[in-house]
Amino acid sequence: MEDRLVKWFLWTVFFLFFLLAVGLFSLAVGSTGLSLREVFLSFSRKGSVAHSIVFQLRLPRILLGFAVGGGLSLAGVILQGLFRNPLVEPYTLGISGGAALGVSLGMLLGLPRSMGLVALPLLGFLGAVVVIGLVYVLSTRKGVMRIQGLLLTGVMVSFISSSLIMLIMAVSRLEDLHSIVFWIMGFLGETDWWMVTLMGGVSLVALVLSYFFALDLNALALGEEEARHLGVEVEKSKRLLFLLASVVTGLCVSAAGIIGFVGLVVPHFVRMVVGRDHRILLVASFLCGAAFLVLCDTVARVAVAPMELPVGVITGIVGGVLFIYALTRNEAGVRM
Amino acid sequence: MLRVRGLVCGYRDGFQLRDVDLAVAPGEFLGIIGPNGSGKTTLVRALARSLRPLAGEVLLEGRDIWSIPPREFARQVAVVSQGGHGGPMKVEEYVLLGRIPHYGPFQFLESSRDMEVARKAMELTGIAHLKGRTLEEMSGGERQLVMLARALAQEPRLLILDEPTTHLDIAHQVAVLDLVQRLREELGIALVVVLHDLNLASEYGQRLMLMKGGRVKVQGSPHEVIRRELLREVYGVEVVVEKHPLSGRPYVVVVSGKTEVGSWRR
Repeated sequence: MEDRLVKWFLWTVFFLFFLLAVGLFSLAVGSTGLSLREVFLSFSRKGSVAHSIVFQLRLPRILLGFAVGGGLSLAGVILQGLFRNPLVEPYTLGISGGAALGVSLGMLLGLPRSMGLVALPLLGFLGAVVVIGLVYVLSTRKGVMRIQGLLLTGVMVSFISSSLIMLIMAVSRLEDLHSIVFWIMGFLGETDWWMVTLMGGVSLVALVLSYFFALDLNALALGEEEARHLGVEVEKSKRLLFLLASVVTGLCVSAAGIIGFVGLVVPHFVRMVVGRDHRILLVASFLCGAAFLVLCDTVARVAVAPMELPVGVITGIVGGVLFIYALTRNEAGVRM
Repeated sequence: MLRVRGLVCGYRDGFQLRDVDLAVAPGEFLGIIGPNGSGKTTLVRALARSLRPLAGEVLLEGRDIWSIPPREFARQVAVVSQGGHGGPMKVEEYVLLGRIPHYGPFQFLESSRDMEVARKAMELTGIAHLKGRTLEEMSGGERQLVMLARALAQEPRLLILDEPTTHLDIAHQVAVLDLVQRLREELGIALVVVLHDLNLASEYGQRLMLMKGGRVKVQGSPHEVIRRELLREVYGVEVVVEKHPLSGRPYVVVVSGKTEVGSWRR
């Protein structure tokens, strides 16, 4: 028992260091390269160029990346555990589709011009909330939430919303079209401290809350009926976990657009490394997802500088390639 | 300890269990037998708090099981159902899941007592040497023992087993039921065991319940239940019932070529 605790602690420390290293690396590189020394010095030198690069450009973006990456991975672990299905990710439930639909609709109506920057995240979140409610109601019958039904409903809602988005794109003006496409591909750069604080808070709170369900998730790996035999209040846990994962996903998508693959790939990797116990899996995935997204975002910033690539492109390519590699090497690890 | 009164239970418009009455005392072994589709598993689900009764009640120590908080119920009653999966989970992890109902409100890790109970459960079931293996690389029989160990880790007072010997060879069948017998005698655990094998049921059960079409056909000692006419009527198969030379309990031998189930001639 003790050695398991030690092992878990060491893994947590390892992922924390990884996260920190990625963060520092990301602070240093970019169109203006800074040495680590300059980065550290900039903390105390207000008004210097380095200070404004670090504090106004890079740090908010990195912190947002941490929050979104961690949040999406966490949602991925929760949902994969809940559905006992390794292909489920935060976007399978149609939440991202709803958010994207909200944003596209807002752009079509020209709301960002009248309401300012806050309009898009707000609309995204509204869209996500509508979809969460819809999926929830459609898949609950007589107080029982049918997990497989939930999955199918989610996938169908995704299809419907992506069709509607295409419709909106077809009728929107060129400059709106460009913004919609860009938003859909995911972008961490357009942020401010308010958004960073909100998302950081939400992600951390979600991580803490998820730990109240770590044992339930472990038991649910045996199936709902078996979990019930172990005294887990399955309906309550399913409902709360679904809501937790959905709200986090909705907020992440609203803040950063649709950044794919983080919530799918990272939990798998972490499961291969630390095992299947949710008591370590939750925090390890959170940290690893945070680091992974920031790393991808850094690549997106510097790969074809001064141009920027959408971060969703990088997470997709890097995540997909790594995943296939791991799949062929370690067949047992990706199973649930 | 467990008492069922006038239980009607099942799936709307589908299969239903009707008018089931039964009682199990602490340290008693109740064997449930009956043909496929006679309602054995439905009954198990009703007793295990997985299926709400449509009428009647299931009482544990005089309390309606649906009024007992789930975790408290899981500390009293453990269930080993058919199937069940754990994928690539390690045996030890799986057995430790049986400790979940015993966790305190802010307990995050297994206590040393939890580890001790799990270790004992694995030793009792003879799977201690397998604890580092994963469930999917085990044989069906070994997996059954692992599931039993998990149930024992719950430290239940009532153990419900749904066909615990199905995938086992006779040596393991006897080993499992001997073990279960010992738990009953030494710890006073009450047992409700669904068995397909009439001879095992007769040999181990103190009381048997024969079911047919969702109803209790007859309930009583093995001598009262394992009877030629009864079995012929319920199973539709010709049998010979003899007396076990050592235990004196009845045992059943089938007679080939006389089946009525799905007969062409009828």
